[in-house]
Amino acid sequence: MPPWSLAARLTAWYAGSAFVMIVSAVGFLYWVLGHSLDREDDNQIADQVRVLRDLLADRPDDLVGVRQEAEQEFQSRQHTQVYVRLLDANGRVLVETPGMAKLLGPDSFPPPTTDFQSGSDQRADDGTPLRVMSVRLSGGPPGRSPYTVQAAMDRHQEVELLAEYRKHLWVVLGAALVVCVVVGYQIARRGLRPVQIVTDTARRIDTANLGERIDPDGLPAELLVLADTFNHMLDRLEASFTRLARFSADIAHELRTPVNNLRGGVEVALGKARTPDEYRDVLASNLEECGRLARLIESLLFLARAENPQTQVVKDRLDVGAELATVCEFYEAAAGEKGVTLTVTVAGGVHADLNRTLFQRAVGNLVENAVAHTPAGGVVTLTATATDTSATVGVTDTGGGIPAAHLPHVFDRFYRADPSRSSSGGNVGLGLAIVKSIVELHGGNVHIASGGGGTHVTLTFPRKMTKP
Amino acid sequence: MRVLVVEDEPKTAAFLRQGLEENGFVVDVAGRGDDGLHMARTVSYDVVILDVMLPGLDGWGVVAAVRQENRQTPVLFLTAKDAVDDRVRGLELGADDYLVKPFAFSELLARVRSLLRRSPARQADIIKVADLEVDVLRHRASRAGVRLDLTPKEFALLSLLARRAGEVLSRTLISEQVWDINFDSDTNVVDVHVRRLRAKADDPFDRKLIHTVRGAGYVLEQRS
Repeated sequence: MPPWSLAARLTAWYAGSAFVMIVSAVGFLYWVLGHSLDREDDNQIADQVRVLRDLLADRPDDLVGVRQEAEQEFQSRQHTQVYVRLLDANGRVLVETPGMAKLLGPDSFPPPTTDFQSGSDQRADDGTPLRVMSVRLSGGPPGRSPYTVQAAMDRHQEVELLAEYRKHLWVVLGAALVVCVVVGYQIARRGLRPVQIVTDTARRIDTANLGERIDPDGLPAELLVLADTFNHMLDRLEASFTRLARFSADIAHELRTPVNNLRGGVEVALGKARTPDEYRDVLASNLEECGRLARLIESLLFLARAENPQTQVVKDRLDVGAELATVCEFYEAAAGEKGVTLTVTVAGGVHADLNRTLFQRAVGNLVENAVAHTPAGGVVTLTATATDTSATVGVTDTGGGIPAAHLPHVFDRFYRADPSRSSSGGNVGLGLAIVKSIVELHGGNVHIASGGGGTHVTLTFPRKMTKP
Repeated sequence: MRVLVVEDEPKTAAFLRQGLEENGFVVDVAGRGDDGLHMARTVSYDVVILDVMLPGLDGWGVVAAVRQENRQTPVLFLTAKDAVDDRVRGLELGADDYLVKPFAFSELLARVRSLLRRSPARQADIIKVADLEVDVLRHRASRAGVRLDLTPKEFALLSLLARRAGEVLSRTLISEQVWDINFDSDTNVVDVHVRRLRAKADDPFDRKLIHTVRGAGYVLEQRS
């Protein structure tokens, strides 16, 4: 069975609780009505018994008077007739209202009490509903045992009244139930309408209109948070979608340039007969373009593989200082030719579990970048420090620095702080993205700071690690 | 030296055949995996160059069948995928080496040659090319009797070029062998090192020995 919808639950809860309240209220009123009818009848019966008691107190032996009084009283009341019966201590009937014997025998009465409070309901032998009371009079004739008065009152009118009342109650309760359900459903639907709005918006959004957002106006506070969260999710999705789209466009663009060079060079070369040297020149140029394409493809594949969470790197215990020295030695000549000094400063022995090739590549990319952006006379410094848990490699240059606006993006693929810098130097804007991937493959992080005095990049690697 | 190339891409097969033949190999080409296996069974080859994705029977199937027959012919895999799984699988099945497409032909040639150098001949202690003399043991180099004043890395670079004289060495191979740098650098770092070496070992002399092969790398040889 599928779970109930929210509207159905709200309706059920609302209708259920409202109905229970109505039933309770109606039940209470019904009980109060019945109770006060009982009380009223008891009072009437008690009045009658008191009249008898007073008569007997005045004239203890005048039973004839008592009978006359009782009959008179009985006939004087048309609607609420009270039957009375006077018994002596031995249970003999001394006086009774005519017709009472066939209504209810003396033995059918409850045992007598001494107060005038406790009436009870009883059915007459012919089925007439009666209110009965049995009282032992305290002031009996001197020297004799006290009298007992049995009184009964026909209350078929009250019973009919209550029955009628109950009949109406069922109708009212039935109607109330229907109203509760209908109103409850309406309330639930009104309350949930904003949810429907949010749902509709969410359903409408696809890649073509990722810019659309849920309008927070008029949403209740709880849904406002939901809509806000949802909108933020869409922001992130849109951003990565845009980045992906731009990434594809960038790849296409980067491929276009070498392919264009290849094609144009070959077409022109084939346009007329040429000397072998000229052909050789074209072919060599083509080979260079092919190398460029191959490197671009390799870099893209590397990034794609690094992004796969399944990718694991094989690590060895490396002497970080020695690795930096190796990289430094490799780049020293190229830096020196530009007038840039390359130095390595390592405090003590720094060791960490790293993949050697990837580490070299990350540091190499950073050094290439630093040397490229440092004017003659500048210095590029490689440093390594270690804490108990991590090893940090720093590459600092004394170049012009990177404008703050570009800093958050320099690790993005194909991002170039200076768009006019062409890719002819082999720089396609993937170097720093690869650095970031490598560091993340090792479970570390990369940080860049830049100012007027130069740029400082730090790579932090965990020294020992189990899994990325 | 006889080489079997199993490759279904006609252009790739064509340049492999031409390149290998021009470097002194006898080359047979098969366009299907099952044809290739048949040829490998009937002819004794010194090296088999095998594409992974092949019609008929894929490269893995070919190498597995060849190895089952206890043939120890060296196998070089060519693959367009460089997922680690593919490499491991190829090597487990008995391939000796692999190259990821796109590859440089000079790289392929170097790998094929190293597969053939199963038991490398003892390196000469003194290598001579024209008037260049490289004394590997004593770390000395001279040209026409004039001692060259080289840094240790410059000497390592020169002896690498001299040891493999006539062979085009890619920048990647050079940085791997001389600096122990194992990634492909985009920039001209190797060029600067070679330029410095040339300034000491070539420029003062009339006969130039170190030559640039555009788009491929460097070669040390005597050219008339």
